[in-house]
Amino acid sequence: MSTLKNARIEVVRAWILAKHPAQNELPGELDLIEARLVDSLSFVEFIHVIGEASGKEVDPENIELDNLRTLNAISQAYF
Amino acid sequence: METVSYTAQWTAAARAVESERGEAALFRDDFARYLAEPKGFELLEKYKGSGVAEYVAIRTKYVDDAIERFLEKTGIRQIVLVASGMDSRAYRLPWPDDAVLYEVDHASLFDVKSSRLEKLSVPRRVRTVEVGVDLAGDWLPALEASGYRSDEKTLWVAEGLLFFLTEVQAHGLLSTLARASSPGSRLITDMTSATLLRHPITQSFLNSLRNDGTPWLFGSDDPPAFLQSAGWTLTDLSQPGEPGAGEGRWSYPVLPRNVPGVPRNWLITGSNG
Repeated sequence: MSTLKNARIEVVRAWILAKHPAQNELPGELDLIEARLVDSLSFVEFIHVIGEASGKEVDPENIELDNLRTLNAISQAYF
Repeated sequence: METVSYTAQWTAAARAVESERGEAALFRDDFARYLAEPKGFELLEKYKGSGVAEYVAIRTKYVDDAIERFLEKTGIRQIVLVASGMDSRAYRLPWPDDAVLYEVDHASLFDVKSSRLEKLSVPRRVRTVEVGVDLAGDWLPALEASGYRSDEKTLWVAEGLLFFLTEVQAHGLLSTLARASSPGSRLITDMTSATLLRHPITQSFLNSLRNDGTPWLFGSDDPPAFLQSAGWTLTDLSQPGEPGAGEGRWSYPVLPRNVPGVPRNWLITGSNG
């Protein structure tokens, strides 16, 4: 994984961990939605964070949920 | 009880938890814990993380405040709680002496609710008429037979109800309420956004509700237009977390209404002229 990709995914990881202080680590394959780390109410902020990290806005009306389920999937789809 | 009545216990559980937050609580409903059994806390746990508990707390406070405000400002003395569920406002809000509160819901629910509250020996604070009906049918005649006057101004409260109806049913209900009460009547209600119902992130929550037999069916991205088409003029539209609607209590970002693709909940008041 490139350094840039790594740096970008760390931004997302840090955002999720800051929201969930009880969560110690965030493996790349963890299903964030299943684990309720991202839910409908934090979702728009979540894709905003991904957009900021990637430098390309994520269209909230055109989303493939499977691209957002894990940090690895996010990295592959957006970074 | 009807399956949909279990969601009334869920609401009661959320109210109980909020009431037990001490000084931080938005309101105190000391009856809710008694009304939430047996399913309420189970459902609260099952749907933890969906924001439902916080939403119910904020909505309860919003409705409490709107009821008190309307009774004080409009002189309305006839109040109807449509699908009242495990509502305990008759026991806990201050009411004018000459007010009459109609609670409309399934008869089986009243049996459960009354038997639990009677054990507490707490008197109601308003003259209350329970109207046991089939909520899916035409229940207006039963309400009128209980003493309700359609030639009087009315405060209608339909809280936590509309998302369980189809769009046609929701529109039919609000239209009926507008017609069945004098101009100057008020409405307090809430709904979800249509976007919430089709958003990928909410599908597992919505599937669970469907599997529990209580699917969410209706939402609107344009509540003012929806109300207008049903005979109501919107007087307030708030999202949880906005001023007057749990500002500071809602732990999620409140996004401006022009941001597209956002699942939302709406707290609403209206007037029928």
